[in-house]
Amino acid sequence: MISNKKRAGVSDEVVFLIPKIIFLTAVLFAVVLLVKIFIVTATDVRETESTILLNRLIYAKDGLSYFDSQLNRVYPGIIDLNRFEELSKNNPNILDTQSISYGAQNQIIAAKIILRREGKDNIISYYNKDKFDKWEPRALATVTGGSGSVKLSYYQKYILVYKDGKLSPGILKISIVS
Amino acid sequence: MIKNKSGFTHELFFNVFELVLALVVALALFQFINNVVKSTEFEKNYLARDLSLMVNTVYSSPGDVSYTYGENLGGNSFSIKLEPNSVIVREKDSEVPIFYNFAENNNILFSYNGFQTDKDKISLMFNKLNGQIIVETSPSVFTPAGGLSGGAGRTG
Repeated sequence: MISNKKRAGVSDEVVFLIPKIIFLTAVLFAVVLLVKIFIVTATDVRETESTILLNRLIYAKDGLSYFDSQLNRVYPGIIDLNRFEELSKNNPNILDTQSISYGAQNQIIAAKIILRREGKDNIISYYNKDKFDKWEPRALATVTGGSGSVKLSYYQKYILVYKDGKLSPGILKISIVS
Repeated sequence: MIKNKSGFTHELFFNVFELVLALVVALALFQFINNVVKSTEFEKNYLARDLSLMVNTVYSSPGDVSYTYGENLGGNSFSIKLEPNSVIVREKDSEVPIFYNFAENNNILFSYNGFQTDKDKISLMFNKLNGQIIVETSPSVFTPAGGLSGGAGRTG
């Protein structure tokens, strides 16, 4: 009889121990989760990357700026209209595949560039058009998987447009998704 | 009396068991935190991103440019590889590397290269000259104190 009581006492103790072990495990996982949440292992460079792409489009030799092959000189901020029109109509992927190429698949950044001139139609050109069309809606908070998954930055630059030796004022509106 | 003694033994056993369990959990947590503190994941991510942005910036320049990149690594040494469209950073050969992409210009030659950083600091020279970009180790560089923060260097 004493032996049975003793056994019952032990089993009771074991049963009471189970919730404690479950609670301890939950606390362990909670601490691990909290530590994982608050530790930053990567920095967000999307804003910087957008700015660098903008500068690369405007300042680099194979970007949008006019390049004088005789002087071997780029004119930063002076947009070559012939090149821009070529990018817009005939060869829309030349920037992605030649001048600013992230390889076969660019999963990093995309842009839409609008050239506005007074009294003329807007000319639209893209960098990585497929991805821009796919990512742009995701910048909106109302879209599923949007707001935060991609970052949309707008830039506006007052530039000069070069065509056949003449300069005219214009505005470059650039939307960059990264 | 015997019953009391037996009850006391069981109670003591369960108390000791709980204490041991709590100790094991505490040790596991300390071990986890220690691993997190010792991890260089952030440093590798930072270096990969910073160097990729550096390459993109050098490509952005309209003319020739020479830039000395310096960074304090806080006592760590890393292996850096510049491969097509990516900077690869790892601490040991056996581990999974961290990489970040940069955009190349197919009309400008880029010299793919590998570097082993010194303990504490990295100093690389980025040169864009005559339609070619060469990245090489630099003997002297200004390195900021206080670990990876903000990048540094001097333009040449």
